[in-house]
Amino acid sequence: MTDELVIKELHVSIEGKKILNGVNLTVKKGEVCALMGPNGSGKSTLAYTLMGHPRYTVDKGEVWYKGKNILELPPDERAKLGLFLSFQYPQEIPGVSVSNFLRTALNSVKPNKVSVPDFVKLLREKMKLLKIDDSFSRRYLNEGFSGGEKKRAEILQLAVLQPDMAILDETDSGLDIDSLKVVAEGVNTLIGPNVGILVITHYQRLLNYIKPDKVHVMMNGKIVKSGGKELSEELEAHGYKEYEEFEGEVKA
Amino acid sequence: MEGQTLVTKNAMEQLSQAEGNFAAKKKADALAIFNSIPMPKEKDEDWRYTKIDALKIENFSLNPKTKISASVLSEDLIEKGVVLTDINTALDKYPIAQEYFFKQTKIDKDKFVALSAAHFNSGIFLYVPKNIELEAPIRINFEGAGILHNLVIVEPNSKLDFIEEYSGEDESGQLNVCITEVFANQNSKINYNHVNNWTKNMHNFTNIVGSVERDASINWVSGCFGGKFNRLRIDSLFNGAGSECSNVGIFLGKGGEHIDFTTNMYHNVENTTNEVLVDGILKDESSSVYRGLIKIDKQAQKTWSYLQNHILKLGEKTLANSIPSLKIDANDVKASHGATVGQVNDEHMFYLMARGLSREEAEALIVEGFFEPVIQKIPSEELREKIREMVRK
Repeated sequence: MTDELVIKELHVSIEGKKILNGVNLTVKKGEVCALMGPNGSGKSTLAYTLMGHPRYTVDKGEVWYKGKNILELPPDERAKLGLFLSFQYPQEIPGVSVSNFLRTALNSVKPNKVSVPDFVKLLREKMKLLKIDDSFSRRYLNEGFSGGEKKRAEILQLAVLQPDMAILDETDSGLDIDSLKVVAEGVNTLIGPNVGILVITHYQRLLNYIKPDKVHVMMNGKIVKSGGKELSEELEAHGYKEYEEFEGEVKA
Repeated sequence: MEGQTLVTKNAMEQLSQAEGNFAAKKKADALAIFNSIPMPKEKDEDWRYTKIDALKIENFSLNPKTKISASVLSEDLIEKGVVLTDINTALDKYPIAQEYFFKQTKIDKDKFVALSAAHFNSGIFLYVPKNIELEAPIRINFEGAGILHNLVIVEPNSKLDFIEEYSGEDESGQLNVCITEVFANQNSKINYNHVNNWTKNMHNFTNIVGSVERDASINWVSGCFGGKFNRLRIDSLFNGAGSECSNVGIFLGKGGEHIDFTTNMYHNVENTTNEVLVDGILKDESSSVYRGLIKIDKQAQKTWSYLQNHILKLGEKTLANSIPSLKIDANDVKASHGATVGQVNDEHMFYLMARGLSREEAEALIVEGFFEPVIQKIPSEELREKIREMVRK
């Protein structure tokens, strides 16, 4: 199956400091995987590495998607393959309107150019779904947005671009419960047999609304446990402490 | 563009015309001044960071033929006394042209001002009598290098939208030298739009001086694109209480171009208002220097004057210099200046590329976005679109 995202023995460092120590993980088409772990465990590093952030150095390993080792591709080529990252901290781009940006992005990732009226229709529809005000599309991308607005803008991009494989990096952080529900609803409309989703989160909260098929726990740059939905509830109840000990034992 | 072609006259022909010719006399005087003052040097304050030392005036034609095309005035406006003609005709024919000619511009302070004063062979004269609001903008196109003198006079309570565009044909080693004098008399309002789009061998020295009288305003918009050496200086003289200026400037350097941009604000009287925003982008190996002076005289109390300059460097080989300065002799004023020189944020690039934009597309979007806030300050929609288009090119 070439539509799986297959991460093999991935080792990543930043400025000489090792962050990922051999990650193995597969996200299948049509599957929702949750990646959980405490702060500093390497979750965001994995997300950035999958998208090709230049600051992260891949020391070892491969990531296969649609028949290509994507680690050899620049970020835009990965996006064109169907990969999408919803950023934990979206960038503020001055002077570039949400609408202008999204139309440029859509025309970049889709093989056929989308006409302006079709784009406007699509954008309106998705904004309505995410309960986003019309004026939003004219604002400069993320500039002066509240934390919640930024996250909604990320999910709006997800909804418009309709990728095949979406990585959501801490999409729940900074959201109140109402916003969380709206955002989760937006993600859920996307879930289907043709889309793979990797939900990265510290807390179980988001997983009440976006139901994962699989849950993986990351500690110190490695997947230390995998299981079903019940694993996330267990983590919510007991925290990550037992894994810290477990990881300590492994090291010793 | 539809329009009339103004006759350009040969400078030598002008000089040899009959005695008593106003322009010929002025040129002869200016020639003596031009010959007596030295070429500027890079170490001079007004020329720092600009490689002027290598430029030799003798390598250029001092009798270029500019092609000027201009809006055609309606019968109604002509009837009301609006005049649009070439400068030579105006100086021959209209005492008011002679009266305002070099009224505010000092010939002996700048070699290139003196050069223009001594050798100009073309230019436009625009006169708007009092109590007239021109509805449509007056457009002038200058093609090719020129040695020019333009004179724009707007009388009390009148309003003018003015758009001038300069472009150069691609020939080797061209020199364009231009003086433009603008007079906004009492309670008049001028939107003055200057766009230059020079080809790569042009050496441009343009000095624009605006005099703003009581309760009058000039809104300057300028765009500098292209040229091997592109120097634009805009001086605003606040000569009447209650006068206002805004100055929006945009420049884009590419290849080996050098842009030299100056805005000087001279607050000479009380209760005047000014806002300057000059933003520039440098690509490839281009370089720039921006000088922005706010000078507030002792008697110019209640001045409100702000200046901002932002430069975005694309590429390691670009060189940006920004020299904002405040000289304040009054004690009851509000004034500030700020300048930033920055590079494209790598995180911004990654964010855009992660959405599928190629490096080039992402950079183009960042460039457009950088200029958008300053473009939004341009009153004319037509000009906003024109400048966006030039930025995209």
